[in-house]
Amino acid sequence: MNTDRRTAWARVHDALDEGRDPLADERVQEWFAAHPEDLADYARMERRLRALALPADHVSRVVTAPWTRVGLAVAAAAAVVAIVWFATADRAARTDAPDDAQLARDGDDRAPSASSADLDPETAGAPAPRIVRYRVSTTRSSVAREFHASRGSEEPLRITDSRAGATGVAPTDATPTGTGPVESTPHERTVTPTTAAARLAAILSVRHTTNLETNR
Amino acid sequence: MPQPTADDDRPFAARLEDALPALRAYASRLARGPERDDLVQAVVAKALRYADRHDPRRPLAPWLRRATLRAWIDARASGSRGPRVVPHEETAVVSREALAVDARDEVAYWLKRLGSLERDVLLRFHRRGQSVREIAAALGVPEGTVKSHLHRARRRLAEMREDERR
Repeated sequence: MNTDRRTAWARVHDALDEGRDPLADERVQEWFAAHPEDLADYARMERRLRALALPADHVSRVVTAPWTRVGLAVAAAAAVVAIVWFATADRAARTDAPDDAQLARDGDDRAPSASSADLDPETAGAPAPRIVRYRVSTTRSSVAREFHASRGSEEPLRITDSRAGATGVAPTDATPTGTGPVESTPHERTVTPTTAAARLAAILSVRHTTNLETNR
Repeated sequence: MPQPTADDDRPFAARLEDALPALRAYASRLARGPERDDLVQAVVAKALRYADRHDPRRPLAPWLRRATLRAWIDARASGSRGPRVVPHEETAVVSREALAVDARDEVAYWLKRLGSLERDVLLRFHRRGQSVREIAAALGVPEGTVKSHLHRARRRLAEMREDERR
């Protein structure tokens, strides 16, 4: 065992000795990222220690705790849904999904300079509408699970993990698992729909989110 | 990437979004392609769910890295259970019992492979909840000796692979 590895594992053991979570240690985090094979060893050790901590007659109860994992051989490719609110409809103002350049652009939700005029090059430079309402949502499917994210001018960012509601994985002590959707607080400042769409795409690692329609 | 500062009073989601590139880079060291994306999304979902547990005075990045490692471990644990099939109610009960027996057997099996002192120290610490100091007093040995046996026992548990048992 080389020195760096020995040091990293010593920190793991010291943390366990003191009742701390070793994975909260930044040097341990760095080591495991560089050496996932050691993280696999750690996971094996942790699982066995957890089983060890339970009296034999309790093992059954834990293992048989609600474990209703639903096998999701998710088929659908990323589905895109747009729901539109029109206050004063101007359908010509609708814009297409952000392109790759937009996705690559690290827009800032909070930047007041990010005007909704960006939606239409022809109106760039024109006075920005005072109100832009939008909603954007997208779904990303993989083999084992499906994530659905949505956000709107009057809605918080909300992400649903299909597996969370059906998982039987025992909660880990550091990051408990849960069920149902998760959400953040709504936007508190002006947001450009394109920026919101790009960020939503970035969060879900999809190339496009949706067609946006606004009330501008 | 803008680094959240200790006095960052922006909404948690905004800080999380700013931390995404670093989170994705960290996850890339553990997984590739769709697995990496799943990992990132699982962490983002958990982070939003448990945002209230993060102390805003502390940096977000280590908190997210910790969650990433946990998510990686959880993903491997669920993956190692094989294909997920929706069980019939009765079948599920049988499966759970089988798993319970398997877990008991596994623990007993690995314990037998430890030396007697290692096993004693390990059980005292992780099952009975005794501290290193208490164990040292009970066994009449220095604390350093207890730690060294405890660490060796844990290391053995980490290194003994499942296929050794088959």
